[in-house]
Amino acid sequence: MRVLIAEDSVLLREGLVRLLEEEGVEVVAQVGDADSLRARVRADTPDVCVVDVRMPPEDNADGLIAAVELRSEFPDMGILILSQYVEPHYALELLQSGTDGVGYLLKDRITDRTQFIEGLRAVAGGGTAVDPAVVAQLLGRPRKDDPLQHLTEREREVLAAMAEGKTNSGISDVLFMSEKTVESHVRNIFLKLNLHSDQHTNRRVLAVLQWMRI
Amino acid sequence: MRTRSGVIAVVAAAALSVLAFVVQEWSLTRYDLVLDLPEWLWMQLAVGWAFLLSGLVADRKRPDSLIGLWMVAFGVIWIGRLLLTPPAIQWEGVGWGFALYGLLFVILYTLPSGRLRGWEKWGAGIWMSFVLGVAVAIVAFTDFYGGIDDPVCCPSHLLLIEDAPATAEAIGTVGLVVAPLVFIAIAVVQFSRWLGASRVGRRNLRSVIVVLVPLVVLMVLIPTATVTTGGFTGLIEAFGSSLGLAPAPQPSRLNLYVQSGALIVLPVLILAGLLTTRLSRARVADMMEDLTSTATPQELEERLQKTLADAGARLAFLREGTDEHVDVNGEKLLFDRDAQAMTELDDRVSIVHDPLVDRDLVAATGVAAGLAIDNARLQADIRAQLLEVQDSRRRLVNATDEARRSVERDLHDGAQQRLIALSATLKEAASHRTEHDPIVDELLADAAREADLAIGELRELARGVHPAILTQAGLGPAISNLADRAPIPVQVEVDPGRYPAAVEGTAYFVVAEALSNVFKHSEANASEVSMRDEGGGLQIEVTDDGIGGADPDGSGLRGLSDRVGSQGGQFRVESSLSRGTRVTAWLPHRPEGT
Repeated sequence: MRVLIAEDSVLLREGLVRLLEEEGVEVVAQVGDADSLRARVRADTPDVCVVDVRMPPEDNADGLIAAVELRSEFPDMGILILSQYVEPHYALELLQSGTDGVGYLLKDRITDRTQFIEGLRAVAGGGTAVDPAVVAQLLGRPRKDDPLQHLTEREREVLAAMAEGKTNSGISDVLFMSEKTVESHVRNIFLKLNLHSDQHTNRRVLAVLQWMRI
Repeated sequence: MRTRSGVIAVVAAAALSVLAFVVQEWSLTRYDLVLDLPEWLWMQLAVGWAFLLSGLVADRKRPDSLIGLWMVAFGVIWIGRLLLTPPAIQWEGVGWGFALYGLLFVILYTLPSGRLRGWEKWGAGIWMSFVLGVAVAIVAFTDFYGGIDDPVCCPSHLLLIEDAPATAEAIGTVGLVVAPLVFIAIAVVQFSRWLGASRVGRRNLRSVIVVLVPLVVLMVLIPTATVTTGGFTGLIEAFGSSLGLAPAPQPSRLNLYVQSGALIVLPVLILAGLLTTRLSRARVADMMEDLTSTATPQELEERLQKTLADAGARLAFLREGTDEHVDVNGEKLLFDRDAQAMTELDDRVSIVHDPLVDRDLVAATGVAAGLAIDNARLQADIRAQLLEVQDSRRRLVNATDEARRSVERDLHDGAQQRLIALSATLKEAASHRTEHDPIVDELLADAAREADLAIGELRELARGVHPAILTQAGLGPAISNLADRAPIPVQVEVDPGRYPAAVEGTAYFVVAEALSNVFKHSEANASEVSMRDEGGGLQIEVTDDGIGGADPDGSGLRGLSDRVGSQGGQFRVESSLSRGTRVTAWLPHRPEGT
């Protein structure tokens, strides 16, 4: 796996490089601003880009904007956004640019090596990763006549895992249940939330997150 | 012209008139002559006095114009010339009349100001020299007294070089052809000035029309009426002589009356023209009657515009301690110094107006409206101060906003990154340990946990200081995030547009504070937030279905109202016990002064 790191904080960038190299991941380039990100991606065509949302030159959401642009240019390249913000808006913006091989994780996750590498590999493998904190914020949003109250505790857990981008087998692993059970939970959830059932895991993430945001 | 000079002019003219009579009588007796037209001198004197008196009145009533002085000069010279006409003087005054075209045309050309500018002075000088030259030439080659009626009557005049009627006539014809052409040119120039003038300018140039239109008619009608034969040359000569400045081709009583009549009417026309402009002064009196002490500064300005007949006239007040002028609204006054004139009423108040408006009229108007203007100045001063305070309030709020943004940026770039690095290092240290000591393990785990908590707390703190998403993605996502974190359902409807940072900052602050009030005090079950573009601004509404009773003067809502006011917006709270609370705010897109 060839990874490009775009992060303007030197401290974090170096930490990330060390972490990835220790995990045997090849870091092909490291940049500190959105313009260099565009240039290096075109030159090195990495498998995955790990991108900080906020970067120079504008110091706004330059990283995210560049990443969304690059996705249309390199549809097969994975994008893992690292962010300081619990912002469903960014996660959705990213997913709307295409659901395969994208991730939105809080920077906190790099302090937990296993979790971070897991997310990175999911993205590299064409999957999706959405930070649990983002999902939690959306799930916790109060709603009028909340449809979520009709879900069982177990179904809620499955819903959260779906929103985080986990596959059915991934869900069965973390929740210690058979894949068949997971499938039946998913069907029930879609029915109760009046969502169109979509078996494609990545598109399912977007559908669920969009439903939660309304 | 001062009164004394006027008196001197009148006395001089009177003396000259009497002298002209005496000389004529003496001349008639000496040569034993009988005049064909005994009233000739009377008529000529009447012309001179018409100019003199009209000029004096014009000078008194329109001191801003030099036309009065020109007319007085014309009258005195004209009367003086009569002294030279009787044969006994041997100086031949009749022929000199042509030279007076010089002065007359300058008067017509410079109406209504009487002023020559730049090259015009040269033009006038050349023109005067030309007519004087023609007059001298005519006189020098004409033996007037020897030629007319009785060849044995009188001696030739002293300036005679040679009695050569053909030469004199040729020169006279040149003059008589050129003069009407110059007159036509003057008429064209004046009419084009009138056409190109502003409304005020036209009013001012009305005098020109009053003079020139009848004059053109006279110049065309009189020759046609007085000339029966003579072909083209005759017509030209008659044309010139219609102003009485050249000997008429056919001396007759009709000719004399028409010529003198025309020259008596002319100064009166000029005076009338000048006075029509001046009549606007009568409006000053009207204005004084209309002005009440309750008139607003804006009404006062309107009255002044009406009085001066200048819709662009503005009151200008000098701000104390500055060299800056403000208008009646207390706002900085901007005007085009090239296109508009400024007349000072006193050291603090001026009127900006069309330069063609008579400055004395402006000053008179200013004096008449004195008290009202003073009142307006005070009000403008207060307004200007208010605008300054509003300005500084907005700047303070914006500076605070900027400071918050900057704190958030510093937290993001500094402490947050370091804490993440710290947490990562602590966890790595724990994982790299080979010899496990339960106490050290626990300490490391505690430290990492604390670091993670600090990361979370710092993230919330930074968000509270300034939500980065607001700057990065606008109000929609920022307000949605507020709704995500709310303890009760909050429905959000926000137009997706972006606005200036100060507007977005204030709008966010209003919604965040209003929602926080809803959560804390309203006992509401649900709340709604809406924002839409309306009437050149952002209309914000936060409602709830709670118990109402919100106090608009409480510190929270007061702060919101101040904040909205700082951006030139409007803020309102409606809170009733049965229908919950509605907070509305309207923020102009572009805050005042930015």
